[in-house]
Amino acid sequence: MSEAEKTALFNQIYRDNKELIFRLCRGFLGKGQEAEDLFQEIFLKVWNNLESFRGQSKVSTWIYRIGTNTALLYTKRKSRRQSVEATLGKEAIGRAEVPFSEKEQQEQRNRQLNELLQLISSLSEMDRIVITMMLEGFSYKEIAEVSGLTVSHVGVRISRIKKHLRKKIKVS
Amino acid sequence: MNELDDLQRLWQGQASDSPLPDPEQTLSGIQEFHRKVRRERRSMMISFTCTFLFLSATFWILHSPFYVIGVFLVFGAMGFLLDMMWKNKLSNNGSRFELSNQDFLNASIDFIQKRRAITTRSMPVYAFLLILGINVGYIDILELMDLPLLGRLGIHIGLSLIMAFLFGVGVKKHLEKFDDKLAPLLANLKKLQQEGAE
Repeated sequence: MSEAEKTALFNQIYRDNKELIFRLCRGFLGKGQEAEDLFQEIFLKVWNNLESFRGQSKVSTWIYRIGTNTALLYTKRKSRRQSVEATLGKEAIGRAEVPFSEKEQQEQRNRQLNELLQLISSLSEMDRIVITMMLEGFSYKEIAEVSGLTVSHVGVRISRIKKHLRKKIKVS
Repeated sequence: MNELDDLQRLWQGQASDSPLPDPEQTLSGIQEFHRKVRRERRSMMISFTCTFLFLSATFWILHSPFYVIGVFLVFGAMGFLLDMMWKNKLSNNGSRFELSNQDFLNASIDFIQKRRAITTRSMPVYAFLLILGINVGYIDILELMDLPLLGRLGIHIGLSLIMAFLFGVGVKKHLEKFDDKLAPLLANLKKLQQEGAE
């Protein structure tokens, strides 16, 4: 693969998947600089592995494998939980009143998103991978392909996560 | 917000606070990183070549077989170290990032454990070859100084002990740094491996 072909392929993959990877980083690290650093690191790995991509799996599954593995090994992991809580903890979480304007609707969405990010941050890393993939609409088979779990194990995990989330939502 | 569809809509509809960088911007950051790695590698090769050329040039000046043997031993030690570094680099190739999470965890744990074992096992061999090479290298120089045999032996033993001590301290510090940095990561990876199996 020539340098120009590699650059063109990278640009295409980047454009198609940057939002997906951005959300993965947020799922792992919440909002903030660390998530942006992880985003960069993931695309560095994508560039390094680009030539070995043979198209045996979907690009989104391949890139998600690289993304989740990079996130698992991310060196600033120690401060991850604190950073998520620090980013989200001070924001009020609760039900908004009936929205009056688009701005209020947006604020309500932000509150709900923060609530969801906080719930995700309370899960283990493996469960975070499973739930973010579930929220992205990946199939059980694809989640199994990325995580290395069996399809039935993925099913068990998803129902456990759903139960955990319902419980947390009720409490909040 | 209980329904999966609502959660998916909310999740997929989130926007970044600031616009995500365009591919050219990201690519230039990546290429800068690669340039830095290439520069480091080049400066290492240059310093190795310069040392080799300098020592080769001194062959003709000293005409000492001990010196030649000493230089070969020192180069043997350096070659051994470079080989270890190269093997380590090969086993750290990025392809493991394409594995599934469980396989990646296994490969990463294996990689970190092997790296520590290589450092622990290879450093004494490197130190031994280097100390031996330096000692053999200056046999003739001490002879030229016309020192008695006991004095020369004392210098050899004394300098060897100092070098061995310094190497020992260096390796200990290196391993301590390695453990400080990688032991928590290793523990975390093993925890994740277990979580995956549950």
